[in-house]
Amino acid sequence: MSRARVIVADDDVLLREGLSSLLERADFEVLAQAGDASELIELVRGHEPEVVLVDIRMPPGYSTEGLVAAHVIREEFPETGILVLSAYAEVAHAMELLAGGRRVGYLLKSRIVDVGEFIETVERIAGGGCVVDPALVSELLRAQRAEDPLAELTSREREVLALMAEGRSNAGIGRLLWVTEGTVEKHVNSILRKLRLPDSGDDHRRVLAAIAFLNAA
Amino acid sequence: VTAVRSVVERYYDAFNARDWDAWAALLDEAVEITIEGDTLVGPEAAYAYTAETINHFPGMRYAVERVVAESSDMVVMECRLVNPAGDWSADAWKLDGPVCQIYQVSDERIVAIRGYYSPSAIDRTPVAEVPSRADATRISEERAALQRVTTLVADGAPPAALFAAVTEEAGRLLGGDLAGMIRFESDETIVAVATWSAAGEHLDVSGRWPLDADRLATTIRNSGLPVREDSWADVGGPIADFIREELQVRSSVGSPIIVERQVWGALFIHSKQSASLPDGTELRLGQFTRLVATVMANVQAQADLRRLAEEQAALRRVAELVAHESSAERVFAAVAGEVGTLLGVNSSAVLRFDDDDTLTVLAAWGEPDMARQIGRRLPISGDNTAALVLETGRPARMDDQSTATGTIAAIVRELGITSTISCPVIVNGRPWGAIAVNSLQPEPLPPDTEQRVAQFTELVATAIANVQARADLTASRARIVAASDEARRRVERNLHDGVQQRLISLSLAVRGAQTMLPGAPESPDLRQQLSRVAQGLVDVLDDLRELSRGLHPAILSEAGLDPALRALARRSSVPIRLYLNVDGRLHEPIEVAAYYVISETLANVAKHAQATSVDIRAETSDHRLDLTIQDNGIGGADPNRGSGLTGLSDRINALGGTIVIASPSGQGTEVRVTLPMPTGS
Repeated sequence: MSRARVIVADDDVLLREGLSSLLERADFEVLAQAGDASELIELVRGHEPEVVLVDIRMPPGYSTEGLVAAHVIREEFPETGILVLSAYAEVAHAMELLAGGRRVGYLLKSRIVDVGEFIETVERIAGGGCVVDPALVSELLRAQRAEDPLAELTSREREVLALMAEGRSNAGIGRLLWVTEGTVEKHVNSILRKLRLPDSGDDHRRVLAAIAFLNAA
Repeated sequence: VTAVRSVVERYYDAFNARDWDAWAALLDEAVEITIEGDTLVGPEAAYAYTAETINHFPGMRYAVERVVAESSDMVVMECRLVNPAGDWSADAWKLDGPVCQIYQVSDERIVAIRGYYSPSAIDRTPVAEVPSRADATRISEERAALQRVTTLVADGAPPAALFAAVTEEAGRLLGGDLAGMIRFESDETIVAVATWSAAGEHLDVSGRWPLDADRLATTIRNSGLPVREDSWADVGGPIADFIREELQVRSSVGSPIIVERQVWGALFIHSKQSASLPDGTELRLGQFTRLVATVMANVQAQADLRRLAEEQAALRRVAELVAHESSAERVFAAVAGEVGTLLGVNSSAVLRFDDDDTLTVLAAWGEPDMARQIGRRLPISGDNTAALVLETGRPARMDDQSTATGTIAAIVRELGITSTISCPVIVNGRPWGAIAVNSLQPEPLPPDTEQRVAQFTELVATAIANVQARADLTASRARIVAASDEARRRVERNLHDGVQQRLISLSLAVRGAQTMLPGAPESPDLRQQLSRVAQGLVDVLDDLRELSRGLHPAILSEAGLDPALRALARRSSVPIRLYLNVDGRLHEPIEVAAYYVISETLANVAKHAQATSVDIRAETSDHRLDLTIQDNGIGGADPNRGSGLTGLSDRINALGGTIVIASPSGQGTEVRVTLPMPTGS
């Protein structure tokens, strides 16, 4: 398999360089680095990378420029994977990103530090998966609810739901929980039935549905 | 105000207890006591009079019925005189009915007392000796005439009717052809208040007559003594010409009407006959003028009282508006209306001087359709009272508009205004604007108008200063709130974009260093150490994320109240039900205030309420945002305790909003907040 081609966008040069060398060491090919959203979009148009890593907050407004850039890239290059990095976990941002389509990830910036996990995340996006930061999922699951629809779930089902929402495939969940994919499938079906979620048979839609459900509950 | 009243109450108490030391201690050394026109000066004279009264009515005491009116140095009391002996007559004196007393107090001492009996309650007419039958007839006629007038007064006839009756009775009784009663105005003019003619019609004498043109009237006013003119032939001046030529009067007698030691006016009898009016006319006329004086003292006191009460009520209404933090516009509108109504003028206006030599009509009241003038900006230059006020800083009057120049004068003429007065509103030592009153009547505005308007200008100035201070205060609170919000935002940004970013870079550097170490077994310690550093950095990053949570939520400025409140609700330890009906993005300070109200309230709920659920409602409608936070906890929260709630009130008040906290014990706590939204946000 050829090396996955990536572009990194962050206004902090130090972090951008660190991230790039980390990716290089993990055998990604870093095509270019961008310091802001418009530079990123230009570079993506020129290089057509497989994955883009983009900081959500960049010049000029230091608001959600990364998210806006992700939309543009998604429109023009639907096959490009996009990993949005954020200093803090915000459900609304994750929802917006997920709603845009598959091959996306929303991750806390500090996850970079856990190199192995981080590289795996980028690989999952390159491979067509989607990723939601565990901190965000756990915040959604932990929220106190007056009428909690999650009360019906077993603790195992909650674990599975969390991993579903993080964007794991059944196989991935099985590996993490040390159970067979068949067992995971049974849990997933039970969860979908209890929460009255549609069975889309698609990881990305499953994530979107799970997050939307948790956010609305 | 209550201090003034308490002095007077102690005075009554001392009198009733016959505690003369305490009684005298409440009287100023120069106290002036006026009873029915008689004036006593000093505590000793007061004591002599009081001792005399008690001598006649031993058990007599005062019972306060009510406080009629009060100000910072005056109080008007209505009392009953209680006499356990039951006999109210002694030595041709009768003492009965309600007594009205006006006290003036300075430094906890009474400096003046004016007392009045109601007309029905006093009868001090001495029983006269009757010398002859002719005299008896005359005296009985006179007494009958006086009795008719007294009855009129007792029936509460208005002063004008009294003047007319007295003038007619005197004219008939004293055999005059004409009679007239005049009043001296404070501006050296005379006004005829009643006229009578034996032949029926009296020539029109309405309007103001300059005092210096009338020798007879001037003499009366200056001397306070009766006057006589047996031949008008030699007297010069416009009034004398009028009396001689138009009224065809040959001789006249005048008697002063003295009210409270002031020559209030005079009563004249005129004869067209060749023989002069008989000797003794002065004395007989004097009976009528004394009756008028006595009644006028009462009438004036009652008019004073009514005026004082009306003025106070008007001032109080305006003051209440100011106290209830009404808008300046409402205060000005109220002032224009109150001044106009109280003074009985045709129109009034509140004007503000602007920097560019124009004035703005802030409020206007009266006819013809003065409301149309509101909001007009007019150049000040020209002949008008506002220009005079701006120039001199003093009240100004114009009784003739016919030759005045300038835009304002043109408008004044167009409105049909004849007489106009403006009084300055002084704010911070400068003429800020003016209150103007206008008349459409042929006669000029009364001479005391300036003085009466001035009372309101002070109030308006206070109101403006208050409104300004309040606006400044609100603005400065808003600035403080905005500055602290900005500080929080900056810290949040610095943490996320600065510190956190650098920590991540450092971590990456450590990881890089780890990979560069040769896999040789000789450096396991170093490898371990680096690993510990890396893990330590991860922990710091986690701590940092927790820390930054309480700071300004970035999502609020990025995406608005809805997602920010959802995030807040998710992190609450008490389950939350959200009912959000917020239309898009709101004005930023409103969003921030709403967010902090809810986050602070939720923190309080978690700490004190022992609640198991909280309902949060947020709804925008009609230029306002309504928030309700209701928990099902133990209630009994004290809004005055805890700086958190105080801080919230400040934040809400700075935006002109309201916060109401209801926390009945055992029934949960409800916080209701309404925030006005600027239009167009």
